[in-house]
Amino acid sequence: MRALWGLDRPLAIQYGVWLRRAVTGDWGDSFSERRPVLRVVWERVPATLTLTGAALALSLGAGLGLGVAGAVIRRPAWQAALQGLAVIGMSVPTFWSGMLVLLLFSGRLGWLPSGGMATVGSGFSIGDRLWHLAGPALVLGSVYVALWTRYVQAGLAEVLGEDYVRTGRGKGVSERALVLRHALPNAAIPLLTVLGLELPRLLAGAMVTEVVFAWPGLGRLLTASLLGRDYPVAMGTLMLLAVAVVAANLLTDLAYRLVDPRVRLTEGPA
Amino acid sequence: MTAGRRVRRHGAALGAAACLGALALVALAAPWLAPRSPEAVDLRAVLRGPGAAGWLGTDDIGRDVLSRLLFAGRASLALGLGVAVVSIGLGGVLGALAGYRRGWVDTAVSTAIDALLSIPPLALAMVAAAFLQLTPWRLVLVLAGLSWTTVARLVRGQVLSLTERPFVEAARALGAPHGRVLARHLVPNLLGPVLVAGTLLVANAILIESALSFLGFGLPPPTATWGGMLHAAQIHFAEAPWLGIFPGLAIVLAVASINFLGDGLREAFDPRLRREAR
Repeated sequence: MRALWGLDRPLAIQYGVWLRRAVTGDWGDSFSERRPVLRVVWERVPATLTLTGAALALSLGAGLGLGVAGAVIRRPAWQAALQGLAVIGMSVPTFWSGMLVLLLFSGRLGWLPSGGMATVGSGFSIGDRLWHLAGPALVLGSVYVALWTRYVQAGLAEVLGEDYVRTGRGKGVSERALVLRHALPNAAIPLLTVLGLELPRLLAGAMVTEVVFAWPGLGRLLTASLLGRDYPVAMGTLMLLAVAVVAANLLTDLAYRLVDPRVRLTEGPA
Repeated sequence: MTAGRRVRRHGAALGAAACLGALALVALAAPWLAPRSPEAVDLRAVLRGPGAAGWLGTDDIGRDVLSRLLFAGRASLALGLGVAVVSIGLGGVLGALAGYRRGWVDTAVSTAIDALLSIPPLALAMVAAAFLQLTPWRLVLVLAGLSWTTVARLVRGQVLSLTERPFVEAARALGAPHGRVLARHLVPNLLGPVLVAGTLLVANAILIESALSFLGFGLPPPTATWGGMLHAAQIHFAEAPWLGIFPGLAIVLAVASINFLGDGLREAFDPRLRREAR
């Protein structure tokens, strides 16, 4: 059996063989499930995407709201508090906050399920899925709220001092439209940059959060496959994560184009 | 920025530094401060809450949580510091080489950085930890191998822009050898930003190590780290929450202090940021 799977050969050669097959789309078979790795890994993608997407949406929504409020209100105390919160947000490990959320809201209060993606034995329903998603998405999203807020607010504060904002004010555009329609898109550019840079960390956070909340995504798959020595699955998961980050970076670059029409995707004479 | 606000800002950094100093002292003095040995098993006092059996209670085989926490702090802080030091060495040398020599060296280093940045470091660390027999040194090397990129990018960028400045050009024109240009003209200008990045690296290293240990890929027992304590706390967490609450608090306290200190240092070294931050 060792010879059949090539486990008797040196690690470097095994890796070479794996790499040659992987680029052609053959990621091997899972040791434990006897199914193609590609299929095993692919099944977990929706769960991870749902979790990271929900966490991003929650934190971006909150961050945009608080950032706009902060830029309009302009209170030094608020800014200091925000900076402090951003630092603390990055310092609290999600596995710990996740454990506390589970202990409090699932164990003591019984408001949230103890983990998983759906109630066992019941069919799929949106409400059930959201109920299971709430805990992990809040825990993962809370890390980023203060960070996004900080960037939105700093960006807005800078943009609101620009000439075109003064022009807009002068010709009688309402303050509301000025901030939301004229200033916010420009202020969002630095936010996009951080968003792109933070993506690998967001994914890592999602992986750990998945383990705490028994959310059946890529993080749990990687943990389980490594602990169970199912190396083809582990390599496949790693590969997919790398592809995901590269794809997400590409999306970020495309989003620049959307927010800022001055950005050209092809190089050429300006 | 008003004077009052500046004091308050620095107040946060100073408070963080004091907190960090206290944590480091406590970790260093762990053998004298710990009420019991971190390994001492007492099966008559299992899963006792904070109180008579120990300030912070006991775990599932009757070991004293406070003593374990103190010794785990030693391991966690030392690992974090070690990772930062090795990362700065590795990233500093590679980044400086890339920025100074340019050409194929730059291409090679930049490609390596981009490749490493495309995978979540935690996932790579998990795979490395699963394949290697982890020892503290190997763990430091693995984590440093994943985090040198931040320093390298920073140093490369700084060196690229510094070498275009007139004072470096003047030094070269006067016939200063490369080594002298690097040591006398570039390194002093790099110290500040690298120190800031290094501080944040310590915080990140502690977080990654904790996550790794929490997932079950940390150092083998008996070495305890804060993350490892959290990993062990999961099974009995519902009945014995103190097992998980205190190690987590320790991580947050240490990492937040380091991050606050790093933020303060960044502002102290970078007057431009002081204006932008408003």
